[in-house]
Amino acid sequence: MNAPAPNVAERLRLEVERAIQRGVKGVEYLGSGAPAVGLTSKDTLAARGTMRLYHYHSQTDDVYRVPVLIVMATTNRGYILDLAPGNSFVEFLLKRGYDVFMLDWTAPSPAEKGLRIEDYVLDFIPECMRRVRQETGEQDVTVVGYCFGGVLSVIYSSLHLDDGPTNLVCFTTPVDFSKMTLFQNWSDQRYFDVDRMVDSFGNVPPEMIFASFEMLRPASRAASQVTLWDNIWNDEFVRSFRLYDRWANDTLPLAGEYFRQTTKELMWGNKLLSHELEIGGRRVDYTKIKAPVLHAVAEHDHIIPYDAARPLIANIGSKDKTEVMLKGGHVSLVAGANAVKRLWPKLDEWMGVRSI
Amino acid sequence: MSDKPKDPMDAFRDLVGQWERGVNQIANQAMGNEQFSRAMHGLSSAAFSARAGVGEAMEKYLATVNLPSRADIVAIGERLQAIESHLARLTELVALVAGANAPAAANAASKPKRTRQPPQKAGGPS
Repeated sequence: MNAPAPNVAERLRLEVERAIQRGVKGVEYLGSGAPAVGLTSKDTLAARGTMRLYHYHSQTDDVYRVPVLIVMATTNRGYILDLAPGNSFVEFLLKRGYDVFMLDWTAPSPAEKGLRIEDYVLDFIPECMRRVRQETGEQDVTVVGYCFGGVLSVIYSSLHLDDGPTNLVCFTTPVDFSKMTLFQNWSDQRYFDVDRMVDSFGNVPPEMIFASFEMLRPASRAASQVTLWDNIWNDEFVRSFRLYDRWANDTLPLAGEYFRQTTKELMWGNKLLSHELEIGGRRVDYTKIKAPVLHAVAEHDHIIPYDAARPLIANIGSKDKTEVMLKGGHVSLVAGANAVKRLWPKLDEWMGVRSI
Repeated sequence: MSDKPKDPMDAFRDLVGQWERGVNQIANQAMGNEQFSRAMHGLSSAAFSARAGVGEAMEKYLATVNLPSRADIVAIGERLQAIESHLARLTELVALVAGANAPAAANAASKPKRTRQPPQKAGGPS
């Protein structure tokens, strides 16, 4: 039976109540501190420069044989995957019985401006793989890369065909950089003097990275503030808003040489797609990867358009390869209510049978 | 017809949503052309020049008043970084040696068994 429609007086009372709450909660909002994030208990296994390797404490009596190493994007903090209890990808994996490690990044120091892709895929990731193997006693490791963490994981896997990941999972990972149309235009070789920028700044400031993401949807920040005001009476909404807002604003600087190399080799040269990318004197050919691969892409990803991500599964050499396109955007694919009901169970289903 | 009660704020929310989509679409079109790229990098270039000029002047000033410049601090940072790397490797070596000497059973006991199986209903690799 349908409930009777509330009358105008009731509606009015509700709106007045919310208006008062907006005022009260608005003042509270302005005075409150940033929400705590990344609360799942963990140990830091390795810390060297910008690199951090975390090992999360198991939450089950037994775990899958194959551990999971998450490789975070170099532009953002890893706590997007561990926002809060109940809204944490890491916690989900732990409760499903995975042994979870995360390769996260801190802001590279000015002294690390010379870091290159080589440092990430021939030093940091291999060192973390070695530590994971040492810690677990297992040679097999599943690598999960998010966004540019996925790109690094693909490059690493291409260069470590024999001792690389047992399973490779990528979230929203671009391969064809020519299809990232707005970023392409903004880094137009005719006008963008990347050498001058890197030589001038050293590391690329986080404000520039943040601004480039914001420019993709310039009205969205203002609209989100209006939505916040509309819902500020709702404590749960405000809590969730603040978690994501904190993360979105917490952009990392990028090592200068790494940015220069990414711009020239990937944005201008599109060399990952054409297999012309050379790292440490070796050619990166991701079509030679034979490990089982899952690539999750978002239907409404405004940062990595589907056309940029599509060639990964289309061209990779693995026989056991799956692409899943899920509703959501670049972030809601991996975190939040959308991820809880769509991506996480799908990943668990795929990874569980490949982790024994 | 829906029985859901009408919220007077709904029209406002729709309006905000339409405004957001419209502005984003127009802005993306505007930012997707060559002129935008040229103008943006023209401004950036001017900013880099200004920054370089200020940087040089500041370095001279700091040298005059006998204070370390950014380059000096970065050089110290590089040395600290190298020390940190050495320490990390030494710590790892010590841990390796300690691990080799520790009874294997004690290590294994503190860790969960790696025997978990996926739920029965899940299928095998496709």
